[in-house]
Amino acid sequence: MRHLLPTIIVILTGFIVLIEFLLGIEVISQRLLDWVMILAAFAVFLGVINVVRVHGSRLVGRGSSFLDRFYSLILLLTIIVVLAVGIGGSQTPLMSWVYQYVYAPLSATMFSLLAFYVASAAYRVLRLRSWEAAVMLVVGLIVLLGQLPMGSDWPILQDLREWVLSVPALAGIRGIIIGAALGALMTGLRVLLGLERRFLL
Amino acid sequence: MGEIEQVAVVLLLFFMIVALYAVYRLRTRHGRRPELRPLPLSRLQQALKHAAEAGTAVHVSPGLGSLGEPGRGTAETLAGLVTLEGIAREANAVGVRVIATTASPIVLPLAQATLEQACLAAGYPEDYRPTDARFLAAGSGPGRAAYAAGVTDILHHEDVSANVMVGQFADEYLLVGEVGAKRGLTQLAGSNEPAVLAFMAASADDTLIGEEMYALGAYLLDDPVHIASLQVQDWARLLIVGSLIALVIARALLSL
Repeated sequence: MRHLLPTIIVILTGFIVLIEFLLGIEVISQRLLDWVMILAAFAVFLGVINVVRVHGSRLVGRGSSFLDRFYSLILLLTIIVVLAVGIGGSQTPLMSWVYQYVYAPLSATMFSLLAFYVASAAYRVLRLRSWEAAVMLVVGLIVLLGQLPMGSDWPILQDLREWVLSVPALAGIRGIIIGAALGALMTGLRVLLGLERRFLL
Repeated sequence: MGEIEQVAVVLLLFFMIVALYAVYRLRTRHGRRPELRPLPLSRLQQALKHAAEAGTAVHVSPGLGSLGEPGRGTAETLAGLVTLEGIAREANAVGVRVIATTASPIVLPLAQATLEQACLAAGYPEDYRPTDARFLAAGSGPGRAAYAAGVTDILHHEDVSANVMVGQFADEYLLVGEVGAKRGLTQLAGSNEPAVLAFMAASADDTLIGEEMYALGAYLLDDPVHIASLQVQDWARLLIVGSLIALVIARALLSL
């Protein structure tokens, strides 16, 4: 009974969006999307409360190390500072400065680590431990060498690379995409028919 | 094909799928369950037993996606939440703590409710801690790296012995996956993004490819709704494969 009203809302809105999609119009569905964005914006408060709760308990909790407490304190102070800066709006020069010169560089630093992680992941995969690893190593070498400028000296290498990318690799990718699309389709259908009710709070 | 014909075809397919689903749902309800092919879940189940003995926790991420927001992978996130529910049920039954992280504040209350329900179902409501479901950072733009940094911190400092990441991910998965691999954690990862699957295959012990992650509800929860859904998927797949072969043959014959 607790789930009845949310289920009715899910089914109704789902069918409204589906009918509008079929008719090629976006009147109510666009309005519903706007509501979702507003709800998502308010939900951020829940997220902030959760962050404060997790790091607050880490800060005052008994089992935390000095470093844990220190980093949690930094995080909580950062929340306060960014909130204070953002009171004037998200487009103020100060907020833009924080985003451009603090947040974005920190994010870029994290992503720059990817280069090293890709190398270590490739090393682990390409170790000759099984037939599958051997096949992957050979195919990987063909594709890598075929992409090098000197690969143009060996047309067969470029042809092989082209074949690997456009036949077995592409066929595999299409298979994955078709399978995933079917999975997503059935998930959507379960939601639309009100059968996926476990996430209705 | 005109617009009316397109609508007619979509409606026809829709009602065909719904009818097929209803048939399989009834069959499943009457106990006629199909034999499911094995998915690579045995290592995770073994890891849960080890975690119970060692008193360690399990980290589960339903991805960087959200629910209802355009382009944020609603279906993948639902699959991730089903995975969280299945693992939380198994883990709580043997007294293993589950830490769930999300990159969407909309998903956060759902993750909290899932963990709470799992504790209640296991008969240990006192084991539920609201801070075990955590919002780390918004999963779009630069927030993706912040989320990866947050998960990495949990894997490093929270005595975690298994890491499960099923849902919508991008390149930043590798930042987490490699840390998990270096720490020797048992890792299960799943995505429907081919580029990310390459990273997952490289760093995780077991990988769920595309549709396999949508099938977890049938495997982990033994849910009749999900089992019937899998059977319809199989028929739809047969239809697509059959259509592809027929079209290739027809085109080859026409070009002769």
